[in-house]
Amino acid sequence: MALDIKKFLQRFIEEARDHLSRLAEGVAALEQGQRDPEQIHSLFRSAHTLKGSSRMLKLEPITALSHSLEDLLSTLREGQLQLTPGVTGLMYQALDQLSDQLERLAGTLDAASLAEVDAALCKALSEAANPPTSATNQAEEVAETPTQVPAAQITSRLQTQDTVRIRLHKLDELIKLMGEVVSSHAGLRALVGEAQQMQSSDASASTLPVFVRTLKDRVQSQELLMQELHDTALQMRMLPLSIVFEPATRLVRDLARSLGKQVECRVQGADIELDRQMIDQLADPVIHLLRNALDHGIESPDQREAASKPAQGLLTLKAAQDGGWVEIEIADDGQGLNLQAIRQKALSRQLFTPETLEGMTDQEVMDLIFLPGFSTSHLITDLSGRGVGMDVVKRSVVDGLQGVISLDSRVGQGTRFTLRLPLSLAMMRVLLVRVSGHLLGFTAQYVAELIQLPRSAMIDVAERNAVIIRNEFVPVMKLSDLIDLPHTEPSPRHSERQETHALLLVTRLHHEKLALEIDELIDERDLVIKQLPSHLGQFSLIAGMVTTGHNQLVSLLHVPHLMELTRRTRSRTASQTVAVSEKPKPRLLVVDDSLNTREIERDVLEAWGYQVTLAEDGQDGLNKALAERFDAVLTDVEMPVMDGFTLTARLRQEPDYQNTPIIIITSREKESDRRRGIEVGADAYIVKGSFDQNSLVDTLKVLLD
Amino acid sequence: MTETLDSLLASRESQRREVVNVDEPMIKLVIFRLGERCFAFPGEVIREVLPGDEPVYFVPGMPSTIEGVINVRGDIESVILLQRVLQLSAATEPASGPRASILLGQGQQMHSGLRVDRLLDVVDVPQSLVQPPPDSLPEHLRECVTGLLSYQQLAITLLDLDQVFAIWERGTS
Amino acid sequence: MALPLVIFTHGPSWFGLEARHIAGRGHLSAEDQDVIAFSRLFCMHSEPSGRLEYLRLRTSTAEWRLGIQGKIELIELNADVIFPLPDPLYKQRRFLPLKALGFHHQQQHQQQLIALLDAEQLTQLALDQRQISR
Repeated sequence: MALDIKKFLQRFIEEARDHLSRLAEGVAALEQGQRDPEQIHSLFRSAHTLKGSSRMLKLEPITALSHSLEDLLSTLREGQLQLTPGVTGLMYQALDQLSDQLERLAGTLDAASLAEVDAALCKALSEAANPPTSATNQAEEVAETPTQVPAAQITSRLQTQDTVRIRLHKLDELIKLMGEVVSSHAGLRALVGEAQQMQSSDASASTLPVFVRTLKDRVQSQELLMQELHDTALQMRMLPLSIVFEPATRLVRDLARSLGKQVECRVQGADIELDRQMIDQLADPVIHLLRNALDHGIESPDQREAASKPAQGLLTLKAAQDGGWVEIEIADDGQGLNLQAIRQKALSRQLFTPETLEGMTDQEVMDLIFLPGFSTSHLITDLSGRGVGMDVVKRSVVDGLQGVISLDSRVGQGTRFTLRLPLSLAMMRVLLVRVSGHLLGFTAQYVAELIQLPRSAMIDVAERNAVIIRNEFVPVMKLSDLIDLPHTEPSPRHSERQETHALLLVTRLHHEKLALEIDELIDERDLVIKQLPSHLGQFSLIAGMVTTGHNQLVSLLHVPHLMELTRRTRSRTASQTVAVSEKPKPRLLVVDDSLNTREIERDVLEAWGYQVTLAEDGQDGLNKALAERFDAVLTDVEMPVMDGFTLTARLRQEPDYQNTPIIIITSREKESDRRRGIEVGADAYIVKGSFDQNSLVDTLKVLLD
Repeated sequence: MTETLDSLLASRESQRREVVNVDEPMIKLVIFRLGERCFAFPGEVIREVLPGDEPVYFVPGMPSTIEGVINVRGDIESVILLQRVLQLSAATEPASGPRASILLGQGQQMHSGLRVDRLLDVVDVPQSLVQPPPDSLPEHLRECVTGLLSYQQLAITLLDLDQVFAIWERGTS
Repeated sequence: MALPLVIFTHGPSWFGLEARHIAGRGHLSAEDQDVIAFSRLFCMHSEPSGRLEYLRLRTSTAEWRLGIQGKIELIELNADVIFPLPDPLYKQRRFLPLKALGFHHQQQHQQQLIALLDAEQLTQLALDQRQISR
C-alpha cells in the first residue's frame, strides 16, 4: 500500500507554520536592533529544520529557499555579514514566499501545487551570504527591485487553523485535574456507603453531624476542582494574538510594496492570548484597519518629505492587557482624517442637513466614517473603497466581538483606532437582573454603575426621563417598555421602596450613557456564554444566553442595540415636533463635554423650535461662536481645555456677543459659583439639579424676546 | 436431483418472499395535533420528542413565531410556534403542559424545536396510502404540504420540514 | 441437501466454485503459459512467480486453467449455510463473479466465510481479458 503522504504533509505544514512565525518574530527583533547570537542561532535552526523536513517530503521549492535562507543566517551568525535593511528585506521576502508556498500546500496537500522556486531570490540570498564583491551593495540592489507581488496574494484573507496545538504542560495539568476529580468522586461514593450504614444502625443521631460536615467539605472541594477543570479547559482555547498580527504585518509589507510606500510595521504585545473564537473574528477587522491606514493614512514618500516627515511611514499594531480586557491599537503617522472631506461626503450623500453637520463636534464628524456606505476614498483603488466598509468593521467589533471601537485622528499627525475587547467570549462577567418578572442579563463591560434614586430626582425632558449623574444628563428608559416585555405575574416583593425609588442600571458605550430602570439586581458573577441558534442570529438585541442554577436559561441583552432602540424612539418624538413655528428659528450654541447632556439639551431645544449647534468644550464653543453668530449660548462650567466661565468671559469681549444671552447650566450649586457666573457676564445660571425644561425654555424666551 | 448454487439460491429467494408477503415501501410518520387539525412530519426529520412541560425561556426581541428557547442537554434550541407559522386559527392559545409536546426537527439548513398541541402517534404506514395534496389547499400551506393521509379515521396533512422552516424564516425578515 | 464445492485461498480469504464446473486439478510447471492466475482476475495484477497449482474449469463457454497460489480443498456445504449476497453488496460489488456467501466449519469452533463465485461469470471475465480462447 502507498505511503499516506498527506498525513505527513499535514504534520509538516503545522510544524512549518510554527517555524515561520518564529522566524518572522526573530527577523523583526533583528530589525529593531537586537543582536543576540543565541537568537540568530535559533533562527538558523528553524531554517535548517524547514530545509530538512521539506527535503524529506520532496518539496523542492521550499527546500531550495530555506536552504538559501539558512546560508544567509549562518553568515549572520558568524558575524561575517552586516545586517542592513536590504538584508532584512531579503529575509522578509523569503519568509513571505515560504508562507505562500505553505498555504498553497495546505490548500491542496499536493507537492505538485507548489510554485516554482524563485531562483532570483535564492541567488540574491546566497550572494548576500557569500558576497562576490560587496555584500551590502548587492542586497540593497535586490531589495530596491522587489519582485512584483501578484494582486491575488494581496487580497488573500488570513487563514486560521482548524486545529489547536496545545502546550504539553497544559494538557498534563488537565489530566492531573481529571485524576483529582475522579479520586474526589471516590470520596463522595464512600459517603454513600456511610449513609447506608447509618440508616441501618441506631447511632445515626450522634454520627449525623460529623457526616454532614464531611459531606459538605467534600462537595465543596469537588466544586473547587470542577471550577479549576473548567478554567483549565477554557485556557486551552486561548491563542496568542501573533496568529493575527504576524500575517497582518506581512500583508502590510506586501501592500506597501505594491503601493510604492515605505512603511515600517511595529508590533507589540503579540503574545497576549485570546479565546480562539475571538482570534478568528479579529483577523478581518484588523486587516481592514491596516489596509485603511496604508491606503488613506500613510502618504507617499514624496508627500511625506514635502511635509518634512521621514519618508518611511510608521504603522503600529499594539496590544495591551488590562484585567479581563485587551486593548488593540492600530495607529499610523500619516495625514490623519480629512474632516472637511467627511463633511462634504455626508452632505453629498444627504445623510445630514448642513445645519446638523455644522452642529457636530470634530469627534462626531470623525465617527461618521462608521456609518454604512461611508468611505472617504476619492479614488477607488484596488484596496479599499469597495466591499466592506468601516461600518462592517464596527459591526464585527461591537456585535461579533462584544467590544468597543474608537477613533482618534489629528491632521498631519496620523490616525489611531482603538479596539477594546474581552479576552474571551466563552466566559464573561454577567449581571443578572429582574424586570417585570423576567430574569435578564447584562455583560459587565457595558455596565457603568447601579444606582438607586428617588423618583422625584428624575427630570422630564422632551417627554422622556433623564437623571443627572455627576454633572451629566443621562436618559432613563424603563427596560420593560424599551424591549416590550410581556408582563408576567407581578413581582412578589413589590416594595414601597419601588414606588418612591427607581433602581437604575447605568450602561455605557463610548461617551454615551443610558440608564435602564430595573426591578432588582439578582447576582453578579462569571458565567459561560452560549450562543443562540444561528437562525436567531439576526435578532441583535440578544448577545447570547447564560445558564443559571437549575439549568435556567437567561437572555443577555446587547447594550449597543438597546441604545439604538432608544435613539429610534427619541428621533420619532423629535421629528414630531419639527415645524412647530414658521418663523426663522433662533440659533443656539450648546457647549457641554458630556455627549448625553448635549444630546438631551438639543432634543429639548429642538422640540421647542430652536436650531441647535453643539460644541464639546469651551475652546470648541468659542471657535464656533466666532465662525458664525448665534442668538444665544448655553454652556456647562466644568469642561476640558476651556471651562464655561472663561468661555463666557471671552465671548463678552467680542463685539458680536456683548449683548447675546449666555446661560450657564451646571451642577454647581454653591452661591459663590453663581456669583462668579454672573460676574463673568452670564445672563442666567441654571442648576442642573433643579433643571426642568420649562424653566430653561422660559428663561430663553425671556432673554430672546 | 443434484443441487446447483443457482437452484439453491432460487429456493432461498422464494422462501424470503413468503415471509415478507407485502414488500411495499413504508414511511415512518410522527403524527400530532395542532388546534383542530392533524399533521405529520416524516420520522427521519424528527430527532427527538420532548415532553411539553419542558421549561421554555422567553427571549425578548424575537418574532411572535418564537416561543422561546429550551436547554437540551447543554445546547440551546429555539422553540417555534408551528401553529403561528402555519397561520392556523389561533382560537386557542398554544398549549403547554404535560399533554403538549416539543418536536426537535432537523432540517437541511437549520434545526429547532417545534411546539405542537399533542403528539398522537409515531407509526409506519405504507407509502401508497398517501394521497397528493388537494388543489383546494389554502395558498400559504401549498408549499409545505406534501400529501394527505387517512389514518384511524383522522385526516392527516403531511408537512415538509425544510419548507416549514423556510416559511418561518421569510416571516421573520 | 448439500452442495459440493472446490474452495481455495487467496491471501487471507477463501473462495469457492461449484465442483461440477471443475474438470481437474494439477501442478504447474515453469513452462506452462496458458494459465490465468486467480490474482490476475481478482485484483488485476499478475504475480509472476509462485504459481503452484491449477484448476481446470469447464463451463458452457470455455474450458481453461485457473492458477491458484494457495490451498485447495473439496468440501460440501449444507444449503442452510449458503446465503445470497445481500442486495446492497450485490449492487456495489467490484468483482462481478461474486454471487453468494457460505459458512464453513473448518475446526470445531472456527467458522470460515467463503465467497462463492459464479464459474460462468469468472470464465466471462477471463474471456474478456482475452487471456484464453474459446
